[in-house]
Amino acid sequence: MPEAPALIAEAIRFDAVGKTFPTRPVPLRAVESVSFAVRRGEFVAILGPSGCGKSTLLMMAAGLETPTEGRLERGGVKLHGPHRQTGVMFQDATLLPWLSVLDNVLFPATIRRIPRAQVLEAAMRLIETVGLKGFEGARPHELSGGMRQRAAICRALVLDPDLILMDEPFSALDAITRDEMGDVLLDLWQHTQKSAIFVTHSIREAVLLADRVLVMSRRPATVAEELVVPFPRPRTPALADSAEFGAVVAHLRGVIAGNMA
Amino acid sequence: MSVSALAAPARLPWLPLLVGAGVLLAWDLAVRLAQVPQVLLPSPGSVAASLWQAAPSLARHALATGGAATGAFLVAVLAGMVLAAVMMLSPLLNRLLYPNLLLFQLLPKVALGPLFVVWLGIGLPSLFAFAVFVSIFPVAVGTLAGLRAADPSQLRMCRAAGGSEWQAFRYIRLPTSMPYVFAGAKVAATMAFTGATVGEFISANAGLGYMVMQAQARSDTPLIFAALAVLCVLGAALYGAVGLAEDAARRRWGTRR
Ligand SMILES: Nc1ncnc2c1ncn2[C@@H]1O[C@H](COP(=O)(O)OP(=O)(O)OP(=O)(O)O)[C@@H](O)[C@H]1O
Ligand SMILES: [Mg+2]
Repeated sequence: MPEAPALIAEAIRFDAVGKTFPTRPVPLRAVESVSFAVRRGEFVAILGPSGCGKSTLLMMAAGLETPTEGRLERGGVKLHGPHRQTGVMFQDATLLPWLSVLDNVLFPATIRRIPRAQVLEAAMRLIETVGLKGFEGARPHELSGGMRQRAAICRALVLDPDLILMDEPFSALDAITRDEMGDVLLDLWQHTQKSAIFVTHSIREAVLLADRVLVMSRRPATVAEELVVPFPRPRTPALADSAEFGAVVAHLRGVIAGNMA
Repeated sequence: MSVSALAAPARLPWLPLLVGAGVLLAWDLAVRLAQVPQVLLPSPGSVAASLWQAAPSLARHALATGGAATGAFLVAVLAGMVLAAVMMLSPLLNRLLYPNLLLFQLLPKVALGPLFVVWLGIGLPSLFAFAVFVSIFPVAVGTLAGLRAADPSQLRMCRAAGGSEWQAFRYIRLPTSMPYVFAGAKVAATMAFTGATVGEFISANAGLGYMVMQAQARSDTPLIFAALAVLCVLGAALYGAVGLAEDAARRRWGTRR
């Protein structure tokens, strides 16, 4: 790499990024001129109405879709294709049923042809952190939905990426497991300097986890509102029970309702 | 399913065995009481006697047929998988080959046997080629269906991790296709024996099919039955071996569907 990564303060930057799908009979405009940047170590949550283009935005950040307008920069360089230092989590865990939990976690290393021994320790540590110790050899069908998403978190983090993209990673879980997973993520983020973009429909999740919340408009998606979450880190799950937290959630709910009207 | 089958003590299928024994008994009684001529329908006893007497030559011919069919089966499975892989990885070849493959699948392929004799002459080459020809289609079509059945979200996950088309093929499509490959291979196992036997009817000087034709010429119906019985056992053995391989693959890679 020619440029020193430490000098670039932004993990990812959207510069007037737009996306139009060539659907018939009329092309579908999913994302309209979105501009924002995620600083190193910053956790950004994205809220927005269903179908507005959040997933499309994230797929572009993951290098799985190319913007039709604007420019997408990753670490100061134009992004083309999936980036080695980006971890991705989807709505379903998408574990491979024929692999053990450990092999699933190590899958990105397999794809990048990184020797197993080199990442095994990191993988085991992650597995322990998310509470899956003892299940390394289990097959996905032997796990609960929450446990599968824990394994998917490990897989997204195993190569120690500096940016994690998460598209409603907990929306397939029941409410209690979902809060639990939020706590797992919160805990993981106390110790890392990773950047994150986290798409969610849960205002609580967004406020608890993020440093900044972006509220998207209806389709085509643009950034309608931006809110800096005023709570210092480290945060604990107990924060969600405080009155200040409730006030921020209520404010955001109002913003979203106004934005949808 | 395989897990519970392993956990339960192996039980003989008593009822079907009983039915089989009943049929044999009825057959024996009918032949005795109605005095059916041996040439039309030999009694089970005389078939057993023929099995015993002709055992050495039956074994020799069984080896020829079993070898040809098993060899053709293995070639068909390998070639069928390669064919499917090529069609999966190359859209152009897929467009060129797939419709023809489907067309061939619909043809009564056994009817093309004489053509193989015209091209390759009497003997093992034409017989072997014919057996491969009739058994390759179920493997190719089955494998291709399996490769295409890969979960789109798993494929997307692989791409997001930086995986190439080839890696998606190797790490997602191929494991997904396993049950489909085995389903195709089971059909191919039966087809390989059909192909080998029909091939021996028309183009061989050895093998159980050839033996059946010889026995027919001599009106040795008990020997026809004896040869057919051996053929059934061989066919069942290959089919069973494929089943065992599938169980082993399942235990190793454990795809629960
Ligand atoms: N590959 C595609 N081809 C055509 N249209 C697409 C494609 N992907 C998404 N779209 C369309 O783009 C729009 C935005 O979809 P997207 O999945 O980004 O929404 P979303 O905000 O993630 O919705 P949700 O909150 O329900 O997940 C939708 O109208 C969708 O139908
Ligand atoms: Mg979405």
